[in-house]
Amino acid sequence: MMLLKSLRSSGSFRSVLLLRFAGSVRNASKFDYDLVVLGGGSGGLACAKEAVEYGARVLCLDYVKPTPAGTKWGVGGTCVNVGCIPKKLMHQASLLGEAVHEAVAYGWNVNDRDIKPDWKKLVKVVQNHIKSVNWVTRVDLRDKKVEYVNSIGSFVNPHTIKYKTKQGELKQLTAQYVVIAVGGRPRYPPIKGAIELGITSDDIFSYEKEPGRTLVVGAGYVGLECACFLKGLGYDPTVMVRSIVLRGFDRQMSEFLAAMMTERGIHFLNTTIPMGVERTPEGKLLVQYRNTTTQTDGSDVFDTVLWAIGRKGLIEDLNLGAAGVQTYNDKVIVDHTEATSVPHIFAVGDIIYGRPELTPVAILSGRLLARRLFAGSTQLMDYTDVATTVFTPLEYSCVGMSEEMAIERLGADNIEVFHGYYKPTEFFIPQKSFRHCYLKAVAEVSGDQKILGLHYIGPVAGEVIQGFAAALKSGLTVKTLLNTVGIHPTTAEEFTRLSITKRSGVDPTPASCCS
Amino acid sequence: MAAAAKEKNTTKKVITVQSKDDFDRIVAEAGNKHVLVEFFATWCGPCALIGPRLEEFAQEYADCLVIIKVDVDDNEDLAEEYDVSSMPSFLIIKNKIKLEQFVGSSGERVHSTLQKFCGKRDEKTATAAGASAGPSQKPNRMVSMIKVVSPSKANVMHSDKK
Repeated sequence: MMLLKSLRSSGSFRSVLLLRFAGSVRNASKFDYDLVVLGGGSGGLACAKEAVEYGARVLCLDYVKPTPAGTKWGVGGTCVNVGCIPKKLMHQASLLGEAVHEAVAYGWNVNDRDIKPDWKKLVKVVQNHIKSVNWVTRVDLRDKKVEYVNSIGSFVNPHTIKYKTKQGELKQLTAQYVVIAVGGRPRYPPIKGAIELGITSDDIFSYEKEPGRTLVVGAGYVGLECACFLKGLGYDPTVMVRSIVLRGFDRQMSEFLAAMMTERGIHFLNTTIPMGVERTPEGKLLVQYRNTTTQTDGSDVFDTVLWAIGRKGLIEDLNLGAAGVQTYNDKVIVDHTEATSVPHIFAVGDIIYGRPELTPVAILSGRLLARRLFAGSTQLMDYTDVATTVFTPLEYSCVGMSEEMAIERLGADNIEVFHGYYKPTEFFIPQKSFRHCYLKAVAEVSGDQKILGLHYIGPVAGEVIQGFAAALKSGLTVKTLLNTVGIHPTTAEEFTRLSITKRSGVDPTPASCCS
Repeated sequence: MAAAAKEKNTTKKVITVQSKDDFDRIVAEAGNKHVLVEFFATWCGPCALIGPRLEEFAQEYADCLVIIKVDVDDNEDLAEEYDVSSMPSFLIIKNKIKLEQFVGSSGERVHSTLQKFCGKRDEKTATAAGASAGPSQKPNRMVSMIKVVSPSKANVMHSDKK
């Protein structure tokens, strides 16, 4: 122990090698694995693959329990199989449907009357892509020598994991470190018919029948994105909102997004909760609901009911009690080093309490953790100023603080909000609505005016905001922003043209571009 | 001509492997024949394109080789054993020894590999195909009709080729 400590502090290359050798020799006899990762999703795989780079012996366990409707999928986690990837592809499919109509305005000789999507073909090509990603993931694990087992791992004691093989044989192994990265799954409401008759985002991307008239219950980003691509594909979605849309996001931008969706013909049932679902004689779904504001009951018939009311962490199968890992509701509590209440057990990704549930967050935190465990790094994950995007047809992307958070933290007198509507050049010819094309910068009021948050609704919002996320992290100020020359004609350049403040009360609608 | 084309369609010659044991058995039972193995996936576009050609090759080269397909999702152990990462991947095995392995859905590459091991076949494809398919059929890389060679003729062809 003393020898190792002095070697570590001396820091020379040879001593690092000796340390690693000594470490592995010491561990090889004591534990079966240096690292066992529970969960083969964005966080788990990133951690596992990074760890092997530093010579760790790693085992990754991944398993998908089928949905009530019977849907299951391969390795890669939520993002690859039933999240980001199929979502973006279906979003793209719906945008392309719009583009066909716009093409006519630009002189293309296409027949855009009554264009219909081939839902089965869309599902097939999306699933084929997902399966190819599952395959590449498997090959990558194999090439990097990460051992992979398709089973649920659970704790026997803090250093021991057990699992059942496909043949039903019980296996047990020991690990020096364990990383819990099991992620989450969609919730079902505790009402009649919810599980038997409703589906979730776990099912929609491989749904065998055309969704048709769909009720999306839930107004978080999952619900809104699903409703929007269904609308773009020509189906008839209704969004049931319990209280507000996009809880946790900037209020003004969230309301704009809802207004944009309404303008596009998506129906909203506001302040409404579902009470029960039953099958009609015609085979459709009758949903009973209650408007909690007016205290009136209503019902309607749909082809599909999609629950998007939130996600729960998958702690139930881990037997965390045997390890002594503390949880809060259905999530694992970790500190700023992703350590749980047990020092050698960590957690990354959607399973941890109080962090953004995003793939890039899980990936980066997983990698940094592996470096701290096996490469002597001390770098911690920075969870602040994480950019994110809601992929509705006009997308909403943001980084940093919402306006309300800035007001709460600094006080309304200490912040300045620059804002403006804008008109994308490409929208004029097909006469696309730019009513909700809007952006704002939330900044400190004094000095060079450090920017606290940026918000943008418009085309390719994620592409627009990504670069600004790096700028914000570097300490972007309003002074720098307004002295940055814009690229023309783009929508991103509108950030460099922000001049009107909310405080001034001046109309933020521009007369035209180029001025 | 039309009758020959129908004859081609009667029995599928390409075998889909069910398991590693199945694979080992087929390779063992192939005897002196070559085995062309295609590693494919149900979600692999190029695999779907080359599929029909393999059936044609299986008919054409029936005397010299057996063609088998391995679904990589159902047979991960075999895919790992042969270090398959992209599909379609092809192997030529004879007497349980792997002679060649390559990746890609080029029909030409597969065809020239088969010719390398089995010798050229007399492909009078255009004439008979033209009669049944019509003159509007575009000349393309797909072989439109395979002339089924009887075993006796095949032996003659082999001995001709020194």
